[in-house]
Formats: sequence, C-alpha cells, structure tokens
Amino acid sequence: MPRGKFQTLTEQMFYVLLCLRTECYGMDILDRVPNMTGGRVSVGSGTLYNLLEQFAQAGMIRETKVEGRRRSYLLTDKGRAALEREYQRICAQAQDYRNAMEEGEL
Amino acid sequence: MNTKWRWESFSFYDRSGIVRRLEAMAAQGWMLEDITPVVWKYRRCPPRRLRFAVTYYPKATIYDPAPSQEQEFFYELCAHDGWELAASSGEMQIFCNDYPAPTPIETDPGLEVETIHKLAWRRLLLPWGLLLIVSLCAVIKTGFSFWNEPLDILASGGSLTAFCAGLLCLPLSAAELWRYLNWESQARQAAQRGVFLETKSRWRLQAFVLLALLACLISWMLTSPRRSGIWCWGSSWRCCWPRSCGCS
Repeated sequence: MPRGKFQTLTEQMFYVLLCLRTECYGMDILDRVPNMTGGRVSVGSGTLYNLLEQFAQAGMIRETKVEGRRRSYLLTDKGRAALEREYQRICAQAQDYRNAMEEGEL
Repeated sequence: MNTKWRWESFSFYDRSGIVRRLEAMAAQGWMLEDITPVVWKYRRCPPRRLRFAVTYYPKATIYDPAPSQEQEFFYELCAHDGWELAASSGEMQIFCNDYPAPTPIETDPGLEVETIHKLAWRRLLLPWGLLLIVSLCAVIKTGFSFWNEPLDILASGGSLTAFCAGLLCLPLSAAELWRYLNWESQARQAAQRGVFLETKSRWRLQAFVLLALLACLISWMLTSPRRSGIWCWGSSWRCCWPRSCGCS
C-alpha cells in the first residue's frame, strides 16, 4: 500500500516544519536550517517555496503575515502532529539500531 | 554588435543542456537577456564565470503582464541565496549567480521531477502526442492512396509534401516522447536515492528535422502548379484565391 503524502518526511521537510514551530519568515528558514544542523542540511529556495506551498495546501502550516515580498508562516496542529509522528519514527529507528548493534556485540 | 540572437532548440525539461549552454556563453562574454519560443537574445558582457539554474514556476504563463505577488516572493527567496533572474518564459525561470558554489535552487530531486511532470502534459506530452498522431495519419493515408493511385500521388506536390513531412515528424515526435518518458522514469528512481538525473540534449536531431521540413515546404511552394493554390507566379509575387485566379 503506497504511503500517503507527508506520512514520512524527508530531512528537508522535517527541518522546515521544525523552524515553523514559532512564527518565522520564509527567508529566515533558509538560514536557520543550516545553522540548526551545522551545515549538514540546506534547503534550496525553490525547494523551500514548493514545500511551503504544499504544507499550506495540506493544512500543516498557515500564512500569518504578508509584508510585500516577505511572508511568514506558523505550524498548525496538523503540522505539529506530523512533526511529532516523524520524531517518534526517528526515535524508534534509532532504538532499533541500538538494539541491533547490542545484539551483534553479544 | 552588442546583441546576438540564437536559435536554441532545447526540450523544456532539458535543464542540464540549458545550463551548459548559458555558462559557456557567459564565459565567452554573452549574457542571456530574453527568451522567445524560437530564438534567445544575448547581450554582450565581460566574460565571466557564472552559475546558472533552470527552475519551473508552474503558476506563471507567457501571458502574464508582470510577476504575481507570489512569484515575487519566490524571486525574493532565490535572491537570498544570490540567485538573480536572468530571463523567463512562462513556467521556465532561468537564474544566474556569480558565487562559485551557491546553494542550488532545487535541493529535493523528487519535488523537481514532480514539478516537471506536472508541466510535461501541456508542454511536451500533449503537443508531441498530437504531432505523432497527425503525422501517423498523414503517412498512413498517403501510403494507402499511393497503393491505390500511385501516379496521382506522385503528381501531387501537396500529397508528397504531406507524406514527407509525416515521415520526418513521426520519428521525431516518437523520439521526443520516448526520451522524456524514459528520463522521467529514471529520474524518479534516482530521486529515491537523493540524486538529480542530468538530461541529454538532442538539439541536432530537432534542427535536422526542422530544416528538412522547411526544405519540403519550400520545394512544395516552388513546384506547386500555377492554378492549384494560393501563390501565383507572374512577373511579381501576387496572392489570389483559386476561384478568382485568372493567371494563365
């Protein structure tokens, strides 16, 4: 059975949603994601634009302000639930990794 | 001369080929200024090493008088990473950046393939699909007519031209459709591994077919019987309808 859209988030999706847990301008996300990840993850401007649009259409974020060319967004409850779900999935994956490595040592 | 017009024959999704061409032109001192469906305009500039990127904004059309507010927001995001709009044509937006290693505009290959595929229906699949059907019909129809009445077909410049044009357009349209569907399938698989799949330019085939079509058209015009069509020969060009054509 194919996964629904946003059932599993890519790294870029995850960090964009994480940035929007507080109200944030779209442009600031481009700087925040590399800062949060120590440069490991970066989001292209075109990719960010598409993600913001898709998240808004899916009801995961909402636009809070439009000031000329600057727009700010904030996570909705649906977005928070998706972020929490992804966090739990990553934690479960990490635990599976630890268990498997411990079994290997025994 | 400070401007140059070049006929560029790229498929709309051939972003790798477009980037290679534009970077080479910039290195030679020509900067892209405008895009039309047939020719691209370049202006003279000091030769420099620029990075180009082709991206697609689905909401834009060639009929827009100016970018929408949403599109301006998109440009603002791109400008944050140093990408400036060089030219655009409908959905296709071409940016340039003079930073040697800028953050790419597209960093999610899956999203990019999805966007391109949404546009492919009206930019590629529909027009080339229609051309494939029409050229197939022309070839089949003329072929059957030739089987039944070969002399009539050989004597008719219009029929021969239609047959030749169909023969030229049939493999070209089939090749374009196959190339895109093949690339799209491979690009989706590559996107699952987080990899962008490059495109390969085949502009020589398109150029050859277009020149051959032009040659067919010119030969038909030159060999059309004097009273069978629109153009009449005389001491000078004149246009007349068959019914009213009084030239001998």
